[in-house]
Amino acid sequence: MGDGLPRLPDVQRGYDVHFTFNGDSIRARAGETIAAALLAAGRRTLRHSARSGAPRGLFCGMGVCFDCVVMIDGSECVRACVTPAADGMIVTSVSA
Amino acid sequence: MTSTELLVVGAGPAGLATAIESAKAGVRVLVVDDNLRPGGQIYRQLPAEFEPTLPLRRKADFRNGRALMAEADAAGVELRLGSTAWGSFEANVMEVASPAGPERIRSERTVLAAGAHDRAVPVPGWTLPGVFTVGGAQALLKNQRVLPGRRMVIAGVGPLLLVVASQLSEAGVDVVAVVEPASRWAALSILPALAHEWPLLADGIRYRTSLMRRGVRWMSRAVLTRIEGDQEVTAAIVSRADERWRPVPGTERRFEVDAVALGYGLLPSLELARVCGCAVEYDAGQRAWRPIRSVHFESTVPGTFVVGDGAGIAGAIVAAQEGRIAGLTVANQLGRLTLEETDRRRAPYLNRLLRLDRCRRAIDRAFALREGIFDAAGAATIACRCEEVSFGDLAEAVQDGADTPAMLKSFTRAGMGPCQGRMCAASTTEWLARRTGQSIEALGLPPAAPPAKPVVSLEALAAE
Repeated sequence: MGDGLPRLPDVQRGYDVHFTFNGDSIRARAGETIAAALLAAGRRTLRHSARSGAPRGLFCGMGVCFDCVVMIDGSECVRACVTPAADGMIVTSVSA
Repeated sequence: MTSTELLVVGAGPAGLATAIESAKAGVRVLVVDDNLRPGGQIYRQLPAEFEPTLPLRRKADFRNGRALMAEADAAGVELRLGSTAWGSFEANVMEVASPAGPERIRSERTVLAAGAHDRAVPVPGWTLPGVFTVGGAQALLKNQRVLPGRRMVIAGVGPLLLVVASQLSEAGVDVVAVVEPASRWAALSILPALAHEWPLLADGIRYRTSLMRRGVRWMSRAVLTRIEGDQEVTAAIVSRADERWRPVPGTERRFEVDAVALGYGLLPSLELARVCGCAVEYDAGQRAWRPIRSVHFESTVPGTFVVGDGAGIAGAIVAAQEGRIAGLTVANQLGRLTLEETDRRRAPYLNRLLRLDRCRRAIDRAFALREGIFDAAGAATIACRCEEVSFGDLAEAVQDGADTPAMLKSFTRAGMGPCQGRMCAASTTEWLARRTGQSIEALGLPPAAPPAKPVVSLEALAAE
């Protein structure tokens, strides 16, 4: 886990939204994707691969590569790069 | 089942332009798009909850996007976002996964405007967190206004490389090197063709001078050969490149960075067109497959059109002209415009395309990939990210007798994961072609099967 990446100051973001990622509390702003909020919080590793356990993060950033897949609320796999963070969301890593 | 006269898949410049022209002629148009905001990769608008400051609002891509959406709105185009078109089992019926659930949309005509994605060329370390495609780094910056890294190397080739390097640098990323295997003269060779498209020329010059002003190092005839890091990116290794773009031994340079963006141009997103039965042909100039189309962009499936970058990479301006032409052609086929009127309205767009075609061919020539770029990957390098298949695994399969992309896929599972080969198929086929001495054209493509985007397999993934 490194330092969070900067949010640029040239937009006014939405209200605060809180979700958890693997149990840790993450603060996002309304409108932010799960992936952007996690990068801004210094979390670049979103999961470990099924076969070799290698760390994976955001790659294509446009919903094509499926590397950033995470599970939300224990039931649904989504692409973190195109899915907005929502208040109370429980985000966990998948091993796929 | 929903019914409409024209179904457009994709709300980028090509799809919206199609929709606008058809709707203005009185055709009932429905546009579906996988994303939550319209505009495609280039004109995507910020999330609704974001309030941009004035300088950001004035940026050309946001402005052009807003104008296009206002035009679509005024023309009465219906837009459904967050809706993924993934296949078609019956002529004129599209299967769509929408937020409300699965949906079938029947239409008299269909226009596919699915866009493109980065061509990622594998290098050791390219699966580490902190490695992005060039388009991915740009999407994060443009749509979320979050930096992809603090210190970055940007590697690849083509116009997007220049645009994104300059945007990242302006946003405050310390871009320590832009690494391009093409020679420094490649970009200059485009200039004569751009003479009639001065806004493009002006953009190019503006981006270059911006990078020079910031002292960003532009390394021509250089290639990214390795990305290092234990858990996340810590360094990028760059070598000089020879004429064939192969790394020159003994010329390695190490840059300590926390992120890397890589992209060797774009590839058309052909999956949906192929699933719908559109025949494709190989474009050697772009080193990519594209749908076979009539002069008005109708595919080999009557009533189904393919427009924009999803039919061959040419950028947003070409995409918009193609969309306008297809939209008018649909209106004519549905009896809303006479042939005379259709010809009259199509003429300016066709003329513009003729002029743009010169630029496109000059850009294709200047940045045509050379095979050395595929030399950076070793036996241990991951070829298929989804299924974690290495080039060594592919070599074993070839030894066992796999000699076509389809066999390679079924022997190793490379290309069977959720990205469905979008990230690996082009480079594994390049590898196979060199390995077996066959041409890419002769090797062909593995058969296409629905879903064109994994709407179903995600649930299966969740069950694991």
